[in-house]
Amino acid sequence: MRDVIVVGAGGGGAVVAKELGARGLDVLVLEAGARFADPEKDWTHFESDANNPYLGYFRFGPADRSKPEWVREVPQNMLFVQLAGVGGSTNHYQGNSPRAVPGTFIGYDGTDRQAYDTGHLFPFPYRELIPYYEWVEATLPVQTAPMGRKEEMFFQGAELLGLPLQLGKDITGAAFRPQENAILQPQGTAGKTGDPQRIRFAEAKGCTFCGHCSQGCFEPLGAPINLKAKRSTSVSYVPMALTCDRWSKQGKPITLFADSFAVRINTDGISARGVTWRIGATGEILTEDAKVIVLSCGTVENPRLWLNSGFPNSNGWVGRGLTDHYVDVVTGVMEFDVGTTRGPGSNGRIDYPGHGMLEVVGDTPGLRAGLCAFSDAGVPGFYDNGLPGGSYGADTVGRLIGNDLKEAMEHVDRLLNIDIFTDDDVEFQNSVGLSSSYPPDEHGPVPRIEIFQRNRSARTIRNREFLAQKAVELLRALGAKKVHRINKPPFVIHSHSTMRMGLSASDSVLDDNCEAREAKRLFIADNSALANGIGGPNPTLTTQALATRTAEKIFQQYFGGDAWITKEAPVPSTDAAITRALTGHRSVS
Amino acid sequence: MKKVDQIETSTVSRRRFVRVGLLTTAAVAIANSPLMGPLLETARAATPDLLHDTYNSLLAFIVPGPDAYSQAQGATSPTLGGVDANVAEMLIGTLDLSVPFLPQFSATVATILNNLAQLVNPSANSPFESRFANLKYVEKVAVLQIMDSTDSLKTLGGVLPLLVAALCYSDAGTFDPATRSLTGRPVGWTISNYSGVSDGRDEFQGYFENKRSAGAATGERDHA
Repeated sequence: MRDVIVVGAGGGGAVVAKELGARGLDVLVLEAGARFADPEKDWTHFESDANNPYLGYFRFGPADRSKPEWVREVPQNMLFVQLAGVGGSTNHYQGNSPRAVPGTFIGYDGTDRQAYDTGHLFPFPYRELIPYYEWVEATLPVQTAPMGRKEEMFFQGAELLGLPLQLGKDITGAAFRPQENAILQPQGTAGKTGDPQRIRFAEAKGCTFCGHCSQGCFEPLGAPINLKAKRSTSVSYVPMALTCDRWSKQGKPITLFADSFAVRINTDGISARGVTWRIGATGEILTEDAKVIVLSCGTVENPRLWLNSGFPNSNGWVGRGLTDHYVDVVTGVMEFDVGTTRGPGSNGRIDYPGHGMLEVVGDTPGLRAGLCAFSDAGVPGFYDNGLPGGSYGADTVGRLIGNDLKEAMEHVDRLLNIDIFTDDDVEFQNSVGLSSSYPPDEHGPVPRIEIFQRNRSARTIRNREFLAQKAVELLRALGAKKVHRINKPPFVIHSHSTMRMGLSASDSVLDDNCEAREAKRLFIADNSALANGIGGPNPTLTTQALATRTAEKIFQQYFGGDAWITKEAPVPSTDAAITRALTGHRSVS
Repeated sequence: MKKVDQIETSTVSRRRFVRVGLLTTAAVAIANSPLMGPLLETARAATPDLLHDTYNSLLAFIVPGPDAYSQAQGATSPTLGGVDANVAEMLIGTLDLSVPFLPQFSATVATILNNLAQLVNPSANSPFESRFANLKYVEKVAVLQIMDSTDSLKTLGGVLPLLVAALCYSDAGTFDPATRSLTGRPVGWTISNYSGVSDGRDEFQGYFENKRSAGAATGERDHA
């Protein structure tokens, strides 16, 4: 019998696996998608190769790209973005690693404490999470982002709005700042040249400003996998987990199976006892027992797996309370180059606690054009599809198509894009359940994702409008030639809280240790465990801090171990011992 | 670890394996809609020319250019457009792959567009075989408006413009999956003045107020 089986090697599962492997536990990790062991071979910079939702290597589908992606019922105009494969969605994320808004935790006593979703707070104080944040920030590592041209412009705009600069990592009030990113700062020639002969490791280290975060980071070329610039878990936590014995005194390397889709959690009626999974390449069904099971397969597959396993759902909250930051985009067409396609996806942000956040965002032309054309608010000048949403001085509201799209896209590097991430409420109506209209697939009944976009809470809508207005004001202050608000349907790139932890057993699935209330020895460690949408910031760091805390709870509760986070120093994933273990070399400069 | 003969759940029917995708919701809704149900039969009769006309006119609608389809809709552009981007086959193939259990989903979508075109302007019969291709730009917008406001078509109405725009401005038209390289410069890069992919850029502008870590006030601005 294993000590622990972790289902899912994405942003959260890889963290639990590494932490418990480092304690010497026997850990098996099951990942449904591809292995992604060699980013330089597995990935390219081409959008068609990476981002095609049906054929790309970044999709929620099997490792074998000749097979279609896995089905989900999405009964409305919506784009739900999640990736399968080792590293999960951190493979295409921007590395943005801010901490949560403290007002989303119990015990917060700021004067704005009523500005949050006070009915669905985290069940422990914010300060309790800080040591875990620090541990993860040192492990990844998280570093202050440098600027490209788009960040220089964005910060000018923030100052024109009268916002102060935030100096620390904890959010204390409305302010702008460089992102805290899980991206290594540029060194040597990185960020200074496009000459392919001069941006190879080790002349270049860290971020080369290539502009391809969304296609997966494999820069600098020639760097050992644990020294790639962007710290997806596939290049940070997973390599650490696989080499635990090389950098941890008591460590035991984990076992990782890719192409292994969990189809059932086995139970003795009280506790989770094992996992059954299907191998994609062969169709074989395998099963194994463990003392503890950790689900980290995401906000959709966790509730699906729970329900398909026949586990109880007494309070009806399994899969409920989906938060998605009700994302919107406001784009300014500038008179000059702002480097939209160059540099990391986002190196600058503004936090508005109680409302959400704004990020300056750059990406490749296909992704940007697609996002400009994705709206629920009709076509500007023709119809608005009945969706409320102010212009606040923007030239258009709605999808850009035709010559409006061509005009906006004429110089992609002149687009200053501001993404809006709303502090949205946990609402029972927004959910992941099982589809009753689709046939099951090879893994069982398929999930159904539903967001009642036009029936969101008044606070959520008010917050989104506030942020849209601020984004338009910022772009106008910078002299944008045109400003376009897209007013999106659910564009779910952040999803959380479908298996939420909570104070009350009446509206949560997990207790304050992230253990399931209705199945002992079953823990959840990914975005679905979050109590709420953490106030708008990008969720990955908070999920990783919480997963670290969960690993410590598991070790103490079921393996008789001691806590370590406040007693030991974390080993960075860039440590030379890990590099040596991965490369077989004695030293790598 | 042990091998088991089957998944131990009564809720899974292993004989009903079906692989479906992002647009499946649209497909199922269309198939179940009293209004749109007959389309599935009509779609099977779609000819290659009809498909070609319909999708080229859709490409021209989202990204107009100097081509005949853009001219027919009365909205052109002097620079290259979606028709020139060589993505029509990729668009058709992507739609077909998106709903594997429904053969030729691209034909169903084309039939939807052409039937809605018939509703919007019954007299739009020429010059193309596709009625949608014969619509003026504003009439194509009306088709989109109907899709946006029809429950069975909302998903399709939302995803189609996104998919078309993304393909037109991406490298899809010249990407060779066999070699994972490009056969030429994509039209989308040209009309967006994109510099192309690179392993690095000369873009680093230093650190804001020279701060290289949160909470630290020091740090040299090593270059700008």
